[in-house]
Amino acid sequence: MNRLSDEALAHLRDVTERPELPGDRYEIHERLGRGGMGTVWRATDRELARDVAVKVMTLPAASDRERGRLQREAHILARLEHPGIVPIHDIGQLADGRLWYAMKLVRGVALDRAVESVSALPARLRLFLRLCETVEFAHVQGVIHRDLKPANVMVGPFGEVLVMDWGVAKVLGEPEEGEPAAPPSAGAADASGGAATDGGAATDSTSPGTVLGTPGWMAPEQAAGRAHTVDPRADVFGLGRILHALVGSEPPRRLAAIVARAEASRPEDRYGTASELAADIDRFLSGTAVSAYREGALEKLGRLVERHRVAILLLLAYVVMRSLLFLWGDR
Amino acid sequence: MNRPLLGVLLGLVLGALDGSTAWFTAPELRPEVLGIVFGSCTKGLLVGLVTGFAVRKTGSLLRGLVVGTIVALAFTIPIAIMNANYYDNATYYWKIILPGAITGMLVGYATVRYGRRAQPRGA
Repeated sequence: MNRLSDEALAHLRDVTERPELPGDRYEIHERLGRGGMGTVWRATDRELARDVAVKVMTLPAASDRERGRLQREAHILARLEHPGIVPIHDIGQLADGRLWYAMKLVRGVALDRAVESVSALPARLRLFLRLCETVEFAHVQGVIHRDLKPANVMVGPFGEVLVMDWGVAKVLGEPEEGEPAAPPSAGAADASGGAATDGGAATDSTSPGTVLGTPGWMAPEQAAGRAHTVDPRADVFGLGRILHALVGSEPPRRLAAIVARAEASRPEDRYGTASELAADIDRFLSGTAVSAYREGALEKLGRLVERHRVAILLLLAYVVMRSLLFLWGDR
Repeated sequence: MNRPLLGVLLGLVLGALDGSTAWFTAPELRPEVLGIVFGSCTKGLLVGLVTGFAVRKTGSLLRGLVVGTIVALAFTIPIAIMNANYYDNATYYWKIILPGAITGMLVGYATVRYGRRAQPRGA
């Protein structure tokens, strides 16, 4: 008996899993990716004649909690209208009960891959500033992402930065499914819950003591299972980890201090908001003093010289030229 | 500070400093040093004003440098030629034109680097 090739198997799986959306508005094409909660497909919106991305729950028999989470993600996307957040166009339900929603098709690459072609530190930091701006916007709207990592940040062909995967986001002031009336104590947390994912999509459970997020990228308080109690500083930690990855192993001291403050273990030692972090990066880029680093007099002088080096060089050139002309003229 | 105003102030200050160097570089002109400083200030003011207007919308420091140099030379060379008959010195032109050019570079660079960029119309 002939065995099916891997390619043929993948094709068969693709065909059998391909969702059939009600009506004939959307034509589903290839699968773009698969996460913890759902699978994303490229589709054509026939009504508006444009390509879109359609996210469909992976399992028909998903629990109410999983359905609720996908629905909440769609609602969060609808609520966050910002150039750095993928807009949602449509939402619905398949015949087998699975939820789906259509959103803008993002043509880009994940941040970690995008920066491979961006070697200059200032250019990388400017990308990071756009990310901070989006996260700050979400915070102002009362939404904490809770799963910030390079894989969840897409960079478009024109340098646009989009924050993806709001599946484990928390809306401040709104109780989550499974959330206790009072925050669980640290002792009750079960950090070994195993619900966190390793580099892939984050878990979709919010039971007290359960870990939400991605190991290595989530804040310590989140890793300790206190997902319900986290505030915007958990995202500041995620931003700090991303910044750490962007600046390499030997960043300038002032930048290293910014990274260290952003990814401090205790929330109270971090920047209070994403915009405070962005302001320090902005100050670093413009050569002014950053709040995360107390510099000595010599360092301050060195920074000022570096910041105004062209003007200083021109002044020196003027003095040298004047002196030479003076000596030459006396001959 | 907007760029034309910054250009004017820088031109005045640098012009005054440039003119006052005549006290050391040309001792024979000490009786006339006030007039030289006044003339240099006026030249600096005009260079700063023209440069500041010319670069008020640019984001390019290089353009600032080039524009400042050209404007300064446009003012300095005619003045140097007009006064050439009074001086019989091989370094005369260099003494006038080179400082003027570097001062112009400084004005152009500093105006773009430190001045507030004008917003495009309708922005």
